[in-house]
Amino acid sequence: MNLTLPCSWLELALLALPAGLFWSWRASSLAEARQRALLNAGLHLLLVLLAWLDFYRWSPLPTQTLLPQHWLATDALALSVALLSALQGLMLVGITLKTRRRRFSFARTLLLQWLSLLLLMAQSDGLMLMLLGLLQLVLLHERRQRGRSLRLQGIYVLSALGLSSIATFCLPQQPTAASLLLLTGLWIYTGLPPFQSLVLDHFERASLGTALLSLNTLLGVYALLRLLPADTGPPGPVAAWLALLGALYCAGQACIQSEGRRFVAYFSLSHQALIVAGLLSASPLARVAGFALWFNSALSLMTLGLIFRSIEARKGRLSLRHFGGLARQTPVLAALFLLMALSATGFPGSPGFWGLEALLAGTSHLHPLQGLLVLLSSSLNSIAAIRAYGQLFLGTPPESGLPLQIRRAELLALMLPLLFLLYSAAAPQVLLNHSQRLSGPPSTSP
Amino acid sequence: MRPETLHWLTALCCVLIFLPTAISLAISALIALLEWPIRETRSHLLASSSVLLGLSGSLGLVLLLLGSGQHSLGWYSGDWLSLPRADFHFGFAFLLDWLSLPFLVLCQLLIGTVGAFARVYLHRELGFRRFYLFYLLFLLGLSLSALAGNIETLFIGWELVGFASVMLISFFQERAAAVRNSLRVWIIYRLADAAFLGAALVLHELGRSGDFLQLASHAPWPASQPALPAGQALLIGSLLVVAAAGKSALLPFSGWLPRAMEGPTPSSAVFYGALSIHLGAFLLLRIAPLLSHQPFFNASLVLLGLASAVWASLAMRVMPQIKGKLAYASLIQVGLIVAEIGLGLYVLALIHILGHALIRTLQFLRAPSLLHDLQQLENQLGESLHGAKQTQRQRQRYRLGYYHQQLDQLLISGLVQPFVLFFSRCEALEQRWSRWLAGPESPHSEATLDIGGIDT
Repeated sequence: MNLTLPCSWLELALLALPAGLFWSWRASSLAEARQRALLNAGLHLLLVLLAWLDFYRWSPLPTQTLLPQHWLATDALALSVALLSALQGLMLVGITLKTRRRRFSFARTLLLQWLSLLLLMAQSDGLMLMLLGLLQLVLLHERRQRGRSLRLQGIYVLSALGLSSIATFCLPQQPTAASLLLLTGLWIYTGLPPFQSLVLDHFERASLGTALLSLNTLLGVYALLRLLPADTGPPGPVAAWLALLGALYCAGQACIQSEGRRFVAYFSLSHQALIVAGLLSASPLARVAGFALWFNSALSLMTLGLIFRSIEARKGRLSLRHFGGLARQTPVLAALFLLMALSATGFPGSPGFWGLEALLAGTSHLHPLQGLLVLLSSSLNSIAAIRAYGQLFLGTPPESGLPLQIRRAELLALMLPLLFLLYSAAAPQVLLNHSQRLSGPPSTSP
Repeated sequence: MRPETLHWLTALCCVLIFLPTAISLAISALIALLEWPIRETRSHLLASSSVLLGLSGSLGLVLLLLGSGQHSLGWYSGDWLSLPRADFHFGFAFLLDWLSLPFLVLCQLLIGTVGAFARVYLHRELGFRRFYLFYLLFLLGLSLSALAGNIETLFIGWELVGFASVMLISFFQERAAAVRNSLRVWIIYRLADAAFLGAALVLHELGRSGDFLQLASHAPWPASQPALPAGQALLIGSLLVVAAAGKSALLPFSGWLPRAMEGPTPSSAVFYGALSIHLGAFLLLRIAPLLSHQPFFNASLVLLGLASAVWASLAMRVMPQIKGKLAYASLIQVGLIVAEIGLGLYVLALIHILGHALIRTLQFLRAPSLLHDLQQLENQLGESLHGAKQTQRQRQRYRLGYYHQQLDQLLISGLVQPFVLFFSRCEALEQRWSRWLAGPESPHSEATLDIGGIDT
């Protein structure tokens, strides 16, 4: 069968999302809005999956692009991140319980997805920076609606975009200075230490769903890879060291947190810093590891965050100061939390294990101290994860009349990443091959 | 026997050891995740059939080793993953010799016995299925550790054993003390794991293979030839001693041992009485012959072992519970085993492990019937055993024993408290910075209106 499409799958996704957004926004009831958003998120995932399969598995179909290719195009990295982002979006919409629908905007989630896809396909640096700004505007709008302070986010985002714009437009002839400014700008945007206040502020003042989506899509890291010149000069290796120190710091903070959301934020940031350290490393093996950890962390940390959000939806903000004892009431959520925590921290048998091993080998080959930092960060992260599991799920069960059992929609949403992680665990070579392909020179498709 | 036949039979036995356990583990995990109701007998059947099949595989390997007339057999699973451009590859390697096989057979026998005991002991317990899930994970980890032919395979098994132990310490999930203690044990285990992984990395960075047979210049255990230069050997050996000390509760990590007794008796028996506590000693037995040319390393092993044994014998006197007493009694023996390894008495140390594990398992499993046993003993003797007066020296030792808690306190005040203090201060600084940047909240914000703070 010879399929001839009027445009590529990704372009279809780009067109379908705004239509779905409008359709969801026009829904007469909250239940209808959720159903429509779920359909759209599902369709979006399907289209991105088809684009991914088209790129990797099938022979390229004869396509006619509607959009100018010097603006929008795709490659292996963009497609992989788009697939992760679409899956995360579907999980977020699927797991949102009806009790929370009034306080969570499905239309905003779809808008974020659309902007993310545009960003992933953007070819020009200016367009990419503009989209990064627009994404933050959507988050600012949510805060404004909630009457929360916009100052911290505003200051950080303006400085991030300002520095990145100067680097991109004013210093094209000075690669070292441009790399330094761009790295600083996008470092602030991503919220990597020492600029973690931006992420923590998100987790404390925005809705947890939006905060998780904005953190775990790792669009700042993607922009860093896209905008940073191939030869960064001295700033690149310095940034890798800084990322490793940041990973250790955040892992240490995750160990002592007594507030649930701050734990999730620090725990995720520590993993993100490890990913960035791998990607910026001069070692080819560490770069492969960076990508492998990216895929593993994006799913396991998002799922971990969503489990957290599910419990928050039932019980309100969670404290890690006292034992929650929830395992008796929600054994499935407890088991999934444990599995995701183990996967994120690189427990043997999980896909994260191979990524972490490769990162350890790659970084310690460059400098033994780098390997030591990775080793300590991962050990602290696993201590933090098991501590959080114990504080949330073990201990004396609370006397509560509320039904805390997992719902079918939640279970389905959480099973999606679990299946992916199980597949990666059973066939780690596939994940590492893919990561190796991404760590090489970029391959583009029309 | 033809080499090809021998190779295939070895592979078959290895598969028999690991595959049924892995499948049973996956089934048990799936059942737990989907909350399928399953009878206790079926949970037990899954576990016991895995042990029996594994045991038959191990006995098959013993027969093969005897029949082949070789000192050791090896089997490599092939590259599990490989990145040739980055020179990164991994595969499961197994070394079947007169160290690994006796230890494996012992493990399977004791795990099988404890499994049969637990079926009755934990009958109608809420976490019955959970027990067998982590029991299978422990079995898999221990089998991997025992047969490991390279340092990476040993590390994977080592981690699985540690995680299963921690999960079973917090088996009685409702008890806060059990959960707290399991976390403390996890912290020590992670430190030990970090040291282990550090040793593996150093080994690879020095251009050495992690393969035990290559490291031993293909000489059979325990006559392995030292292949590492002095400086390298000392560094790697020191890291592995830290790893072994953490796993076997040697000084200065001994404080976690009584805390680990929070788990059910069957798990205490198999983890801290018999097998898990010997894993550190097993690691030392595997690598010590490679470092036998290091007098400093050997002397430190003897000192560490003896100090741990003396310390445990003092601490044992003041333990109020029988399981705690037995745990410290185990540590005395493990300390002596480590000292034997330091003295180069490898075969004696192996025999000591086997004998000690058997007797201690029996004692742990009899621990719940202690009062009954004591009564019977007194009836037989015809007099009370409580009447004997303590001598002055015994009282002094008893008082000295009370200081064992100070060691745990020392670790907390020397490591944990500074760690928490440093990060708490950093967090306070961060929060001040964030508050200053964010400015005051609007009077109409959700935060100030306090509507429950549920922002999902």
